[in-house]
Amino acid sequence: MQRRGFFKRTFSGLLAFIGARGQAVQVEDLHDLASVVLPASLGRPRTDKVADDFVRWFTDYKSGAEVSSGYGNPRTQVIGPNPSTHYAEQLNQLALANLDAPAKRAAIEKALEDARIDRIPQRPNGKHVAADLLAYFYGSAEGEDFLYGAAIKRDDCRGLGDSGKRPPRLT
Amino acid sequence: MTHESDICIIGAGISAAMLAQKLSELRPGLSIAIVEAGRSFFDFENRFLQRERMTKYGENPWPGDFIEGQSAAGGISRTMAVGGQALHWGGTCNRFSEEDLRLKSIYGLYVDWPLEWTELEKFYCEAERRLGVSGEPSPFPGDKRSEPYPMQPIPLTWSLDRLREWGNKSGIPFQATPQAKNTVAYDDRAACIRCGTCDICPTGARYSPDFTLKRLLAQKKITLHDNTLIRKLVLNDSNSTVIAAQGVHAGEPVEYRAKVFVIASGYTWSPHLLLNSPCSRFPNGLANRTGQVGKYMNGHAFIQAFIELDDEIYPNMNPQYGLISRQYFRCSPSDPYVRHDLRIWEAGREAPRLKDGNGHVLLGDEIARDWRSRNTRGVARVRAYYDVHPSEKSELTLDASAKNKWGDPMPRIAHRRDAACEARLAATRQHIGNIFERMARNDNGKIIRTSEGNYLDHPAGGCRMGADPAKSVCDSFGRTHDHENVFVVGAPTLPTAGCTNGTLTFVALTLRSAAEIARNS
Repeated sequence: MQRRGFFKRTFSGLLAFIGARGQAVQVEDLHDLASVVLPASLGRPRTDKVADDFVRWFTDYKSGAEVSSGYGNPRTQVIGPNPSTHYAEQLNQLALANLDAPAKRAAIEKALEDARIDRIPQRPNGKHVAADLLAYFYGSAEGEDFLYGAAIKRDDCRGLGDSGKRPPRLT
Repeated sequence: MTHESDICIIGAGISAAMLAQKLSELRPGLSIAIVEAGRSFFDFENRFLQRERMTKYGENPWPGDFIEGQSAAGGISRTMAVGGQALHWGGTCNRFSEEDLRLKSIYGLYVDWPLEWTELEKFYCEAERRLGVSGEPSPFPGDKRSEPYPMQPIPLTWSLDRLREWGNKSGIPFQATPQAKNTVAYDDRAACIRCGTCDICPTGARYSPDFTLKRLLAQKKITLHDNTLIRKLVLNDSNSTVIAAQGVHAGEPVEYRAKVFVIASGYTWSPHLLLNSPCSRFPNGLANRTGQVGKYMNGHAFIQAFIELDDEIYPNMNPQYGLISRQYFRCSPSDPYVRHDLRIWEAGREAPRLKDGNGHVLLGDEIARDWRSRNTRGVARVRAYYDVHPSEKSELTLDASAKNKWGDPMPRIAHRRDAACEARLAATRQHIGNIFERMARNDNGKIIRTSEGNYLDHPAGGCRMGADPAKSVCDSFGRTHDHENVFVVGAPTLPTAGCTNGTLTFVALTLRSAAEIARNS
């Protein structure tokens, strides 16, 4: 069993993403984290997918890009530093791989406490990967749909035809 | 380098696009140059990608739509590009009402506009046709239209339909807000597919000036000079006509000579250009013999509330679409003066939290369970934009302490309400608060929070139109009193900002100016 876990981790390690400081974020570690902080009711394949989407999100992040300058925003602002800078070391410190479920949770709670995080940030801000993963998920259309239990699909172009219908319930 | 044309339009926003389009139709032989300080966005093919970057990261969907160092203190947007602020526009196309034009006559307040409602109404219809507005008629006789909307209204979402029912229970009739968005293919643009990001519409269903300008360019009806900042207008030595607009392009001086100059640079940069063009005969700036340029900057104030209610309301079904009631556009002259619109949008509930009320960390499914236990009801966002009138000291001035890289002083805007507005402010707040409470009485509603805007929205003014040159900058066509070949169009000419979104009014007035310019060109 241990051996299978080792190979699984080693293989997944090939799918590592280089964080802003050059340290690789192991996707498997992020999957482990997601399985604890994200709703288990999503099922493991979906929590894994959210973690993968999160990796894509911070990999494609463009620090220094202009912030939307729309109405009511007269100042020049840019997108802040990539929040993933310390994700690899934070995940290493959590060392979730060899922990059982209660210990995983305890480690995450302690890390959040140590980072003095008591709310889910509006957007990932780099203070801790656990809080940022939550921010990413609940800030997404998928997270919104999960909370409301309905397929609002705010990021989709949904057509006018069904607009008067109640968004389909998610089961 | 010197460019010559019959008409030189300074600025390339929605007013410029409408003006150029109409002039090119009425006077096909006219040469029209449009000069814009910012860059062009003719990359329609990139809009899905830009929308995606905006939704995922909050990136500017119109990258580079501003000029570093060219900004106004007290302004609410920095956008300076071909398309202007309408690039980011949500598309709402409300009309003002006759009362806006007759404040002095009906209520003894502020001033009347120098044109009749029936005259403006004709141009509202034209503006709606050109922009492609979808809407439903108002139930109020005072809002009578001489032409139907070009398109059927955008269907209400599930949430808006329920919110309309809720709002109507207060005895206040709500309707869909008219939108410059296609419900069917219109004017070579696609129908709306409800992407929910109207500030960058990836399909072209929401009107944007770049469509008009691109088409005019393809038809060779205009020349467009982007990335060209006009810094000053130059007066003829021997009379009061303007002979040139001087500016800079790619670091080099550039000059535009024309028979007619039209300043279509919005409420900030139009008065700024005039103030920044002093000469010996007009030491305080062009069109400013009576010191009116930059005065009476206006906008409307607003109060907003979030109300929770017993109904199934989902956010983000069509977030930039909402409901309006025009019930309070009018008030009896015998009652205390208060005029406002009333708006409803679908709203989201509270954000999920990381710790419960006892400070215990929530993870996994606990977060959603906690959220659902706290959020069992729907939420409506309601807002009233209320009419306020500027004092003469509500002004745009040149700030010598803030200069752009060419050494030009940048504008500073300070909005100030007139004494009558200040005197009735408490009563206005009370009136609007009462309406919110009245709405909240239905469906077990509860006001969660109320807030008041700390700026004036949908700003306008600075080159106020009027019949008296001592109290205004231009006539009702936008022709400046001091220079017969200089016009100001759009937002700057408005004496007041009414009590609802102004873009349709800016466009209607511009189209009226276009007819006048064509008649005399």
